[in-house]
Amino acid sequence: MSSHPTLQYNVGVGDLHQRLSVRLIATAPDGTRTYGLRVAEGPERLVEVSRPEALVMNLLLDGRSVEAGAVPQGDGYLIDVDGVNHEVSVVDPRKAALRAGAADGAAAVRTQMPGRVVRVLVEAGAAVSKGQPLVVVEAMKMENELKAPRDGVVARLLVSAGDLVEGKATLVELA
Amino acid sequence: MSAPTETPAADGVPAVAPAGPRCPSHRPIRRLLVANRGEIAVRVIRAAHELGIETVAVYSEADRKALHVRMATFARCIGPAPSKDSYLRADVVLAVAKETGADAVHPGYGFLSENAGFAQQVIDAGLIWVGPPPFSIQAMGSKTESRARMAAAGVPVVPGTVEPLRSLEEAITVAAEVGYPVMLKAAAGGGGKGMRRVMSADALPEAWRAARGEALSSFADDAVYIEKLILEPRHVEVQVLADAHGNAVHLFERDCSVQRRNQKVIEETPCPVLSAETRSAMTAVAIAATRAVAYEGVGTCEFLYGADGSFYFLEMNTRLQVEHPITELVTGFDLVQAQLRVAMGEPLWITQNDLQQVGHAIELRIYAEDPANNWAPSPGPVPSYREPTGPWVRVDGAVYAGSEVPIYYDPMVAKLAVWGVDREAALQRADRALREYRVRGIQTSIPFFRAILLDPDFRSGRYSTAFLDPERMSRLIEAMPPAQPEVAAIVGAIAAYDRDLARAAAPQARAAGRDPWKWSLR
Repeated sequence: MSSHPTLQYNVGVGDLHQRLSVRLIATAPDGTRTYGLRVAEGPERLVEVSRPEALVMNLLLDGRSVEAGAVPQGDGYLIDVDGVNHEVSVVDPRKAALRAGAADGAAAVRTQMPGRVVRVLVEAGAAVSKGQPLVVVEAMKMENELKAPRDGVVARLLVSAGDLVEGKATLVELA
Repeated sequence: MSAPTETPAADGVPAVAPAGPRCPSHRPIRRLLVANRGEIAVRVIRAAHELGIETVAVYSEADRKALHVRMATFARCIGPAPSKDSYLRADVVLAVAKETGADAVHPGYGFLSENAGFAQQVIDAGLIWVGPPPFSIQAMGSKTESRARMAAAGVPVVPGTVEPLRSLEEAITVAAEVGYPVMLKAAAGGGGKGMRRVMSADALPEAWRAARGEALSSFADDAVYIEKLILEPRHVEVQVLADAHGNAVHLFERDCSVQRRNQKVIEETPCPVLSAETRSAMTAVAIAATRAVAYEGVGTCEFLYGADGSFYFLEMNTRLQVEHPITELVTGFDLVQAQLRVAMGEPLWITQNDLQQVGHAIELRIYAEDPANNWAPSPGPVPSYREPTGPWVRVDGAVYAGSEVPIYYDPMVAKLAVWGVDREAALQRADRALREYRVRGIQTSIPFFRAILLDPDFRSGRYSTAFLDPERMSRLIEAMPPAQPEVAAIVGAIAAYDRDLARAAAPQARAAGRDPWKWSLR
């Protein structure tokens, strides 16, 4: 029987930040998989998972049947558990180190939702202060202002008025 | 309650009800153009297909994959995504109707449904308009005109003035006639500006000055009028149906008091607090209003229902209502099929005595909005979707796994309606159905509804249009089903693990230059 690797992930859900290690233990003929999960250095917990539909998992957690959907999104997934959505970031710790180096000090201003850029309120190179509105995005007849997360300078302006943008798209980068 | 709309007189619409017999000869509909999108287009297509009628869907460039396009017999693109360039283009819709050989047009709700000019154009083109006569739309479209007309027909309207008041002295006289409490309203107003509640006569002078001052600064017009203030009103509406032969019936009431920003959120029937006597009086008034404008087809008379048992006519919606399914559930009567049969000239095939209100039905509007994030719109792809089914559960929607909620249109994506033998059974069933419902990839109002169903005031049925006040809103947001971050973290880690394992096992993808590892690092 071939052995599968143990991989580690930094997982963030709201205020919860955990390092989880995962290994695949067995795959049944119907595709149902059993994993071993460990939170930090804690004891290993067995989780049995079937995938009845695309993007859907049914987990048996200590006998409790939990249905969850996992839709890839941004750095992780939009995961629903018992119908409640969770924004979950999942990062391989090795790659997180690489990324931290690449994006040193920069701050990306992203839209939460897809929409149309109505107005761009700043120019590239402009100095901005924390809380200053940068871009206005409209979706479903509602306008949303995206504000500077901190003081800085507009390093890159990635959109102009009239552009359609996807959810989680970066609109402005601050240096 | 929906915002009152002022409809300008449309070209070619007769100003009075056409004289003479309104009974047209029977004209069958063979091919129906559905001038709408989303769940209501799907609903109309279903009714048409049940009657053996072919359908023509129209769609914008954003809706090529929409369910109504997939279900219709024929489909035509009518323009770019924004509704003003597509679904509101009366000229294009009419041209498509002629080109595709449609013999009738159903407008659904919203868009062109209450556009008397469009209705007239459809009729002038020799097609059947599945809706009330343009005259009736016009008569009910203007708030002042419909109010005057209803008052003349003996329908109770909220007491007050329609014309602006000239002086404080006149305001004092009118307020005394109407009876306190009263509301001062800016004639040019909207959005709560220039509005003042006045509980007693001694507070009037101060409120008068304040309302006029605010009206002047907000609208550059200090005209103010007076209406009686209905305390803790409920929004109760009566469904009516009339044919072209002078027959009219009602299909009882719906309570639509649970609203957020004047947008209906939950509707139920019967109204939990309406007595048999008041129901009888209110439905009789609705029939009188229907006759007063020579109405045909399905329509809805909206009333304010006061805590003291009084009720007042608000307006008539001259179209199929969003919340029609709950009426269908308690009466077993198909309102959309009825629209089509009445439009074909068929005399009503039922009498008032055939209609009964059996059990209880409730509808929850599923909005693509994020309740926990100040109701921010949440459009986008829905890659996975599961609808509740099972006994006495009905979903009117246009969402499927792989569909997309476009940014351009109304955020309502589906309506969940359930029936129960009584109100308690309906509420339990609604909760069960919400627990089954999964709309993945976007945020919806589903968790918020689970909180409302647990609210003691909602459960008791004692609520008014002020139910969702800011304080209760925050309490309900708090009471939404709790997150399970530990479980979500496990799911996230397993999803990432499977993804990484699959990538490691597919080196050819990397060789082809589409390195998924590199992609994930962007």
